[in-house]
Amino acid sequence: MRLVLILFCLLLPAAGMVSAADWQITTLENGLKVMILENHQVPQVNLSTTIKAGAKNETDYFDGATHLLEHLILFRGTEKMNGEELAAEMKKHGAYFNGYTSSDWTDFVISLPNENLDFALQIHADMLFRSNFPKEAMDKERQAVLEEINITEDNPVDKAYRSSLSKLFGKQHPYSKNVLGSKENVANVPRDSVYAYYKRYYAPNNMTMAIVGDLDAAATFELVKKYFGDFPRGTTPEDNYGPLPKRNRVEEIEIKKDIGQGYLMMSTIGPRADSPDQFPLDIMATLLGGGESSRLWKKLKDELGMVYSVNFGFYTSKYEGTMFAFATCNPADIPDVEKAVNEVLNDVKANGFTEKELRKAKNTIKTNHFLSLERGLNIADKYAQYDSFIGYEFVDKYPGNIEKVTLADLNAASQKYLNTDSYVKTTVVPQ
Amino acid sequence: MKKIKILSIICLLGLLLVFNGCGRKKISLDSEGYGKTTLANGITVLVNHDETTQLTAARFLVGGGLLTETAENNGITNLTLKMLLKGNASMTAEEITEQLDFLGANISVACFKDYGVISFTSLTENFEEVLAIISQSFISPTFPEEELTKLKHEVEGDLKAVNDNQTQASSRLFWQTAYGDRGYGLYSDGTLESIAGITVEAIKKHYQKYIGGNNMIFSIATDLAPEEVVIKLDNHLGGLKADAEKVSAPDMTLQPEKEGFVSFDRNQSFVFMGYTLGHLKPAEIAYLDLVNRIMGTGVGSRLWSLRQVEKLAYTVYSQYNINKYNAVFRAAIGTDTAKVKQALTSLEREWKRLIDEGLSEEELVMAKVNMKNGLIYRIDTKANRADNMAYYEYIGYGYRFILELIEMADRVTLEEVNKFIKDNLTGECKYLSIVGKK
Repeated sequence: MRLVLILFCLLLPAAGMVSAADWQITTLENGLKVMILENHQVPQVNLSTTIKAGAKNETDYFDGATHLLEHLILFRGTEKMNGEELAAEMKKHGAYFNGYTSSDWTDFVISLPNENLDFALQIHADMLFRSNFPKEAMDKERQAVLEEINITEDNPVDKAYRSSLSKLFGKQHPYSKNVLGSKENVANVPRDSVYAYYKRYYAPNNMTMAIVGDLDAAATFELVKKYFGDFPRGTTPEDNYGPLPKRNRVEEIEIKKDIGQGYLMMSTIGPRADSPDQFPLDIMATLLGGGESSRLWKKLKDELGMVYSVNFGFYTSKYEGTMFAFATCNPADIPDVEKAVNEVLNDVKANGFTEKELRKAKNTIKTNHFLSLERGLNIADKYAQYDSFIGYEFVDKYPGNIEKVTLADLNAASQKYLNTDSYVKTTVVPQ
Repeated sequence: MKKIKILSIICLLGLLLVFNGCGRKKISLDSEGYGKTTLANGITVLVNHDETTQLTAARFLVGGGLLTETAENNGITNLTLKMLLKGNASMTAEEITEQLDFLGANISVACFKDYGVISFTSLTENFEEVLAIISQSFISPTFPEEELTKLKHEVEGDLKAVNDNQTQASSRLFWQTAYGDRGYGLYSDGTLESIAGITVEAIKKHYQKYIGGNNMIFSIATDLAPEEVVIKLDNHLGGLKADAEKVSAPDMTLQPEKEGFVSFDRNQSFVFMGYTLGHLKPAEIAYLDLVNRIMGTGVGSRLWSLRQVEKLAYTVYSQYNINKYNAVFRAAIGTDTAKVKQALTSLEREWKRLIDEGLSEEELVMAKVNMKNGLIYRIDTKANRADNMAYYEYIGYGYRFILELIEMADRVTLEEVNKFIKDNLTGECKYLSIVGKK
């Protein structure tokens, strides 16, 4: 047992929020990283374990398998109990539990009364390492996932986003995959293949567990050792990274559905999570499309009155980020909206932002960051997730890194990444 | 000479402090940090003091909501509240938006069945500046014509998109099916026809009629000292008029047609099936919460079997809504269009089982654990506390109601819960809404 207690300096004491200094961090001998934070505000405990396996780890054969596996672990039982028994046990202990799959990671959470911490750790260990999902149970879960795919197919925003990924990233890149996978594959991928995938990636040295709540950290460490200490290390394969496509034009996708308004998404590639450019780009996204005083809102909605809503987003991931402008409007106005968005972006490239705008974005981002760390479950989730692809320290350093951005940094990053000549244009319009 | 000057300044400051405190009621907090007072103009002030973060969440609740509207002016509450932030005596719409965004304040405006609310969350250091802007907007709004045109365009977009989301569309249809085109049956955004007819004059009248200190609740969860909150609020909003009209109770007659249907060409259909209930006593809300936990809250609930065993859905749950004059308890399922009939049969079966058999002793024990843990999520952030204090105070249960509900859970007996089910889930108040392919 190698116990490493890491205490970090308080980087930013602003807003009285949690920081690295408050965590107690241990890595078990089998490589499982455990982060514990005492937070006695409410009598709850919250667990979040993130596995460094997401849709990016799938080959075509496994398209959608990571997400299907997340469902099987959550709902279809372990070696000790079937799915119905697991659900009943969770209910009996007052537990909220869930899971999330992204391109980079898969995450499982449990939140329940603090007197049930022992139960939570025991069942969490069983789910993560002793799930067995028999074929018959798996077939039932396939149906639920197919329903979930149908929901996203019906939702114009989801449909636009997911459809744009394969064109944006190209067939060889891991982020081109739709996390939910194809209906065909979800319906047919064999149980044994998914089980083998589970055994390969769900290794303790491929996970970070964060526990936050009304608990005693030392006693909790002992429980974690008891329930997780004996699982063997694994050898996890490298990610299937592939090159980005070369793009020098606007590529279009048009989708028709039985809907009431038009949806336009214009997507480009942004920097990876460990790039220092991501901080100015978070500021840029806020100034372009975050709220009613943003550039796109003021121009397209207030001045031109051509959209119902408009925003700009930037998501970071391990390898590449995604940037997109998104608007809802009268379907007939889509060409004009696209042109107006590009004019706003070109104006930013040519003339930049102002010091006042920079300060405004920093205030907004800082407030939102602290708000995101108010609830125990969110704290556990955020630290575990970030630790899986860039390190948990990122969360603490984030407000400081935003504060460091200068106007020159912001305008340089805007010039570098805003692209009005080549992007993926996705529209969803009434049939 | 220097000493006299200093003494004069001290005396002046003392006088100012005394003057500032005159006429203000003191606020004392209970052991959980909650307190209540009233300003001279009638504003009810609810405070939760919490120093764990330097964040402040505040709500300005204006009584009335959809109950102040008719089918003809449906959407006017929403537009009136939004128009407050589109210009006041000292700032234009653009200046208000710029300044609120500059302060990093998360602002939202929403209209609900019984009330409308302007909410904000900010760093505490920016609280007073945000408060000053919103207060000024409540006291001296200018309601510019061109801003109303823009807002109406925005709402038009929301209305065109509402049916793009089946869940939202089916939920809206459920209320409309039960109550028709009035009161609780109306939709907060209104309709394309009603919005088109709303003018600046109508909004001014609506403002005059319903916005006033005697029809407002201000709730706040903050690390600021409660006395400081009251002083700041009084300084900024003490000048708000106190002559709002009393909101009338709605006509609660239920519609005779029990089923609503809207057709769309989609993969999925979305169904709500459930019961409209009358006004509930506090203990009855505890019963309802417990029943809901077993019926359809989360994994392991009775409705969960529709997903887990019957393979009918990805989304299936039950929920309840408590309003000032009624409550609704309903089940929801999003299912493949080809399976709607089967889903309806299964929902019917589960409702019948609930009414015939009630809960078991074992289920009640389980429900109590889940209720106590689940309710914590409604008070574990400052925003949630500010929301719930204002909401429960306005609908008549008191600002500490969530805390009281948590305490009530252990006292509930099986007989009480099962009697509540039998007495309230009756055929005449059962409604159904379906949005999907015909």
